[in-house]
Amino acid sequence: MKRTSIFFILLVALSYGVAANPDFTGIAIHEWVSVLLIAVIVFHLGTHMDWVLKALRKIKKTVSTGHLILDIVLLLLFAVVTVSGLAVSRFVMPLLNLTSMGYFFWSPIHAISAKLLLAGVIVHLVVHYKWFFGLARKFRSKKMTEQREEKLDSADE
Amino acid sequence: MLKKHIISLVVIVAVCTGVYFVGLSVSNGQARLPEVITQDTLCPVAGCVDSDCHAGDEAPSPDGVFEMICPKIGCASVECHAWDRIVGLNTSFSAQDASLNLWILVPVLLITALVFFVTKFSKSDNDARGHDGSREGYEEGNGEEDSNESKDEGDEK
Repeated sequence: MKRTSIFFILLVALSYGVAANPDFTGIAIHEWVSVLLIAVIVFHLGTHMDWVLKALRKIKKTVSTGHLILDIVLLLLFAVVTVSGLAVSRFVMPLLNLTSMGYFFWSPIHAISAKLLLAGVIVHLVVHYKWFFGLARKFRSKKMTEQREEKLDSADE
Repeated sequence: MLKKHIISLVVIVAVCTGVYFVGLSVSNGQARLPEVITQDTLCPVAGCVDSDCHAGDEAPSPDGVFEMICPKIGCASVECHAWDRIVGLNTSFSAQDASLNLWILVPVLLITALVFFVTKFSKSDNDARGHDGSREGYEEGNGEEDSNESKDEGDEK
């Protein structure tokens, strides 16, 4: 689970880093990696569904209301970025033989919401720093235990 | 676990659909539902019907055969005052479109404000069971979000 979590976080970070920099990667890579990111976010939300439901149930008793509000804002921003991105898509939508009029309506919305989403993601990472540190610490201690056991085994031989 | 991921997919699709229809309703007719691409479909960026598409990056100069309709004001005059704004330019909004201050100061202020907001709202939760409260196991990255679920229910009773 730990190793999977670390690989998943690295996958999220890498795919978001690529998707958020169309000027460096080009529009085609930006669009296809963003489609991959939708799947990643679905998985992320599914993994933490229990916490979301619990927080929603106990919202009046206050279970990290700030986190919950931030997560809802992030979900909305992600939806705005996704929808506006598909509306101005040059590769994904044309592949389905579809086009969407309203480029000059959706394009600024896509640009602005993407910057807001980036800010929100940074805050999301900052407020969960304990979780990341804990994960890294556990991963490190597990690795050290494995190395120690390997050493003991080789000494026995 | 699969059920949770399906629920999260449904939630994301529902939110995206809602955002899309809100966008359509506030666009004053600029944005429309996706259309199938045909021979007569206008370029969503430049309003061009030339079947030899030059893509959004490089809108062609007016040649007297194919009319270019300005997507902003609907003008088709070849003496357009904004050709230099469209021809040969990448129509994606980029950081160059705004001042450096806007791209540096606004995100910094936004992130600081959001961190403050989340911290302030979550401070009162430290005594309660929340994302950063006594559920330290979760924050330490053990991934067991609901390890205290049964204990919580017991406490409530």
